[in-house]
Amino acid sequence: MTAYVIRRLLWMIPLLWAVITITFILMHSVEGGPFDRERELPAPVVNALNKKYGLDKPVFSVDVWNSQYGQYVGDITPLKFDFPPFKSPDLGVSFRNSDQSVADLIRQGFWVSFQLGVLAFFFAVVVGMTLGSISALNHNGPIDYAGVFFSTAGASMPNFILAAFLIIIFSVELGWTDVLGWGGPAFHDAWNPAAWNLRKVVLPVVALGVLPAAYFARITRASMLEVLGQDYIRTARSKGLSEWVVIMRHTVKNAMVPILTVMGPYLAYLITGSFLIEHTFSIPGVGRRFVESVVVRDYGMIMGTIVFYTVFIAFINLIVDVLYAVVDPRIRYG
Amino acid sequence: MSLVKHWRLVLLSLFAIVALAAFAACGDDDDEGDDGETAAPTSPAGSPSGDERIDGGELTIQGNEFQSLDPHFSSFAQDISLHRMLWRGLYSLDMDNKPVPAMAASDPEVSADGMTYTITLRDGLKWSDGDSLLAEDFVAGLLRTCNPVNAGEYQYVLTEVVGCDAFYNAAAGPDGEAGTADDVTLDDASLQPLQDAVAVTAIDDTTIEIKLSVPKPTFPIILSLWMTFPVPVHLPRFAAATPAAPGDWGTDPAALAYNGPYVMDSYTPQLEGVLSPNPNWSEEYSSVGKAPTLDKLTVRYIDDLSQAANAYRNDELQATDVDLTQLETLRNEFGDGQEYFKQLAPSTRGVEMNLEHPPLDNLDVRLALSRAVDRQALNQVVTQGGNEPTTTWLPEVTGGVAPDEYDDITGFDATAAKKHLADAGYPDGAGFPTLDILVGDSPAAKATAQFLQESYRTVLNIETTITTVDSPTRSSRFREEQFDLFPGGWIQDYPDPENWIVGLYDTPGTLNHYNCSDPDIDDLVNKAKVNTNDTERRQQYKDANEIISTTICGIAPYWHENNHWLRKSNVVGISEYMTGQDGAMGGDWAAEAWGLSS
Repeated sequence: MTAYVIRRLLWMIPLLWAVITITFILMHSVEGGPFDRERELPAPVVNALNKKYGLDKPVFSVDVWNSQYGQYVGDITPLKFDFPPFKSPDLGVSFRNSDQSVADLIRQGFWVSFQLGVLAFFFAVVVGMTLGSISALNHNGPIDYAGVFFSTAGASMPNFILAAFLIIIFSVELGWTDVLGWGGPAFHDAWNPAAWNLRKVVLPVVALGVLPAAYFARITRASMLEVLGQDYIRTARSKGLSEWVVIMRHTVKNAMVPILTVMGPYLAYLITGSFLIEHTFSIPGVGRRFVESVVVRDYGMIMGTIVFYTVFIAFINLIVDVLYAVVDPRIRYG
Repeated sequence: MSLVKHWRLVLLSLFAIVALAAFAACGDDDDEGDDGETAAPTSPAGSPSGDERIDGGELTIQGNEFQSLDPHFSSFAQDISLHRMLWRGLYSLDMDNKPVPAMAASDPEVSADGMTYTITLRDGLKWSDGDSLLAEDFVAGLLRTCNPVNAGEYQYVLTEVVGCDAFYNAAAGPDGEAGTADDVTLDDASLQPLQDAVAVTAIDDTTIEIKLSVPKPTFPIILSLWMTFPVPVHLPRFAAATPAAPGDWGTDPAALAYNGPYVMDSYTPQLEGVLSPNPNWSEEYSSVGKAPTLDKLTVRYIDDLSQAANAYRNDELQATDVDLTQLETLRNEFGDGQEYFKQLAPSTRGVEMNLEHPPLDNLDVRLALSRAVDRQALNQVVTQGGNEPTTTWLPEVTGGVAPDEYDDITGFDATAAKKHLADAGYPDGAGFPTLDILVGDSPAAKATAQFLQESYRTVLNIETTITTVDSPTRSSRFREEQFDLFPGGWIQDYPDPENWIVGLYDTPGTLNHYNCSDPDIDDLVNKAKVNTNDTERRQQYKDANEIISTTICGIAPYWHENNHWLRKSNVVGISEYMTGQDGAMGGDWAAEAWGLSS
């Protein structure tokens, strides 16, 4: 297992290089640059800005280290031709956010997106798995139909539409919740319950969590139904085990593998930020920042966020693969 | 059917979370105080007067996040709005757009040739941290805008300051092109002589001298703009500045000093900026004679204006910009002149035409395209009547003419449009080439293009195509002059007609991408630019505007834009001080006048 994990970690290096290279090519292939605005900047200003941000160099060049690509790869590589040979990776600055460090902007935004994503994920897991299990255990009954209705409806309704309805009802009409902002604590205050403002938390979490909850409910129901039809479940029942033990020990655990498979990517998806939910509720998350950076061609922010997402999702996938082995002893990694 | 289905889905989902939301309603509201939530409006409908302000109170308004706190760098409206709250220049504009002394003690002394300005500061000026505000701070501000390392986006308005262009253009080398072999290394050795040659000098602690290369009658207006604001050179980061390292302005509010009506207490990216009154501000510095009365001013960064309206309804905001797609609803809900207000913006939009693309070089073709568009209908369809239809480029408020002044020549008239097209050699559109309308990907821009396309088809019997691209691509193609028809326009930088004509419609103008070239316009511009007789030069620009507007020399104007705001009835200063100088919120050019009446 250790060798497998190390091998997977080493594979991240060429993965990262490939992602950086492809993103760099795509980013610079798109028409328009960071200084193409509704209000045109005079040519001398564009020249000065290009110089300031190193965009006066060629994007690619045989003289690699004198190109924008070479400069970027050199900056984010934690190695240097010097002693000691290590340095901190530098993700550069954001052209459109006061020259703030991209790493700082990601750190600030990610903490908020992380809280929102984790809460939405737990909401989805609790609601989805509960609903899916109840549906499966009441197969073809009214409760099952209600569960299927929820999962179909939840999966087909865009979360920003749901968010708009929630805001109108719970904020504008009832006044129970706020429309704007995020009510999670700062990082240093993470374990302080008083630092949470539920008026700002509930709606975004629900709006973001309904779709995965619906999806988890469908997967859970299907997986549970398949396991409930297995011979070993019939055997367990014929041995006289209580229904609780049959369900919790033999059914749910064995039904978990396909659910876990979708949970990993969904967790990564939720945690890396939802542009629409963050945009609608004006939440200062990394998803909103990333989409805005693409729109305004903020090269530094685009590259930094892609690099961060790549590393993050690669780690999430690695963790999920390791969890497979924990949940299903038949899976072994050499 | 689908709506009914969605409502059922929504109700089902809502049922599932009602308990959670109800629980949330019982929770702590940590931000209640921070948000400055207000009680229900207590004033009667109508505008409160500026005298009604009480001492204290908290105001929370909608805004957009600034791109840069550095006034010598930025060019975005929301940045400029914030800069004017935090810093002020030697002069400020009053309600009539006239420059009046702010940090300066009096009007500038101008030499007989109109090229040397001597300005004396008020006595006892202080930064927010108590340090003295001196002439060298203003000199540093002007030099910082001219500095190529800082790459200020509005350097071009200082082009007449002796040495400023040479300093700024150093980066691109002798050929003026960045990225070429002759590029200059921006080090102190190469930049120091260029900086020294910029003719801005602190004669003593309270006297500044600025030399221009040509007379510029509008220079006092320029000295009221954000790119001339002072630098707190007493702060270590600026004290150690060199031409090659002019100091990072940064985004840490505590690491800066301010000379405007407010100081910035905190900034949370993507969320909000919180301001409070500057203890060293005096109402003498204000062009409207005001000092802040608010305890706290919070600018919430909100991109989605439809949700800003909901937050306004929910009393999380006390003032917000209005989403034009909801204009009619909001106007009816909040009452025109009660909580809803609009203000004519110094902006004109129209169909820009590339005169180098035949047949747009033909005046009759341009007139046909202009007269085929019903501006009233366009305004109603696209903006719910939110703007002011026009046929003049230069707005009346900035020295132009009434919006309908040229209607008889270029306004909507289907019969006249057909005749112009026939006179151009395309009777009933026969043989007319297919032109392309290049447009951005916003709903309003696409609706505008579709309206134009349909107008040309039904009135002139000609076909056009629509190319929809995102904003940077659209701007890039405009700059490269890769367009036929381009719905676009202009928002003024400062309230003078020269800002609407020079560089845009003169033949060598760097922003003249429509390729307008008319010797009469060139002649008028060349005279007006250096004419120190204000009445004469304004008339010269007015005459140039007439040629531009009636010959469609690059643009067929269709409307002047309006700004639309909502503000609670107990908020004072937003509706009272709305002018064309507004940046991101009504009256934000004089935000020291904002307050609460109860």
